[in-house]
Amino acid sequence: MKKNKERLISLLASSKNAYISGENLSEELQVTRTSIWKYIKELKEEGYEIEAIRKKGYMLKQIPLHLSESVLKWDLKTAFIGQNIIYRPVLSSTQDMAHELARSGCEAGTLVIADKQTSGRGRLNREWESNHSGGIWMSLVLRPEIAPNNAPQLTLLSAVAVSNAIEKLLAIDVQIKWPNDIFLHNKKLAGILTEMQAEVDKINYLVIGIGINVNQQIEVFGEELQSKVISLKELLDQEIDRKTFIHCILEEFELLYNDYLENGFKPIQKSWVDKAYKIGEEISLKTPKKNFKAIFEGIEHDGSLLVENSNGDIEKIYSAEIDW
Amino acid sequence: MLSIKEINELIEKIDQSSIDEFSYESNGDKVTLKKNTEVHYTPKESAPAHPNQEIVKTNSNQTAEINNEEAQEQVDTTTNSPTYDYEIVSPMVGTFYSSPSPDKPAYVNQGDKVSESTIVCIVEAMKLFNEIEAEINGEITEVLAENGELVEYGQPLFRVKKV
Repeated sequence: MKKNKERLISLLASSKNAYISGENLSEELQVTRTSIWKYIKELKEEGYEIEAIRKKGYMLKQIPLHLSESVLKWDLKTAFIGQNIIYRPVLSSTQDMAHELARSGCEAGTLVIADKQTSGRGRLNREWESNHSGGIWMSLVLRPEIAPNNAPQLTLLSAVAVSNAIEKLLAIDVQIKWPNDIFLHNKKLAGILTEMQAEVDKINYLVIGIGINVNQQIEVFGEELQSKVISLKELLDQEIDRKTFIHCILEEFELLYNDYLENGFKPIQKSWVDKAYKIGEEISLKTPKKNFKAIFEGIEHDGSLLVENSNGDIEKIYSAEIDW
Repeated sequence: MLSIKEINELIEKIDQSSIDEFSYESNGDKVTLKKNTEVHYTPKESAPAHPNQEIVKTNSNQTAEINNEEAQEQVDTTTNSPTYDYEIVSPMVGTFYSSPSPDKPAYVNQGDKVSESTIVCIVEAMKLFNEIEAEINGEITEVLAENGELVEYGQPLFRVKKV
């Protein structure tokens, strides 16, 4: 059923500005013309604009601007990232659903996406404001065959993928705040949360959550956040087609991910450093052992932060609260 | 497994003999007695030793070297009442979190029963949050890491007694 509808969309989409007869469609899909008529009706209800003219056939005028599984899948040029998509208008948290799916054995590359999250979360269950539409809230399940110790590199990789997509699609230069926030004009544009289930020598699965402020007005955020966040719409004064943007991210991600599995972290490291927020500047760090100020020097080959402390020594930081 | 009495007898015998070193291994438990060596704990693998480490017995290949004079005290805490038979170790360098968020109770406490899929803690590095599962059915006998502590790769985080 579902497969047929997807094939119908791609058939209609492949014949740009030309009509395809119901007869051709029913032959191609091996279903009756009544079924074609039913599918077309359903697609229209989902927001596709399809023109039907007697004796000529059907023509796809416009795919819907709102998201749906078929819209998201259509024309996605990846081998596996996002090929299994679960879309819901509202979810408590895409991250939680992705965890559930991963635990029950979903395939690698599965993507969960929602228009709104009623309890979106950041790290340590901090609230991630996303109970409004317009943003991109999605979680990706991966099962990489790498050592769990190397998994944090994928957080940095995700940040590079999102930044690359923004640069390619919108020609905006963004910065990455170590290890994983996307910054624009000193304000937060996107956040990435990576969670993992692993044993000492094996990753069971990884869930990469990506939240991006896209078409929201800043007013939808709570007062204390308004001075700290930015959305693409605010910046560009135009609506962004989220589907195209999501595709761009997924395609960019797959490219980097395959490169990483084959060639390691080095190429990613270089791209990351090129976009590093406040590199060479002084930052304040708070670790379980001490609080100190240091110069942000760069990142190590494993993705950890390199800082030069006041004694001139280079320290490697895996985990810290940082005051940027 | 050797009793303390047996070990004491062994120590006496070895002390009087020309033997410099004596090893005994059974079911993965290993006791090594050496003359004129200091007491120290040396894991065979390069995993960093936990500061509070005083294990003579684990189910991995760890060896405890025991000075013949101080052997009794060491052996006492271990062979007498084995309080655990499995250690949950950290799969990566990072910060140990005992609860999902600061205002939530700890995932597990001493005395809690766990099953293989029970989440016992989180280890975070570079904002990657790793939920650690117990991977064994048993009871938590000891929590070895403190909330917010930096833990090393391979560092024991919990001790579990199988049930």
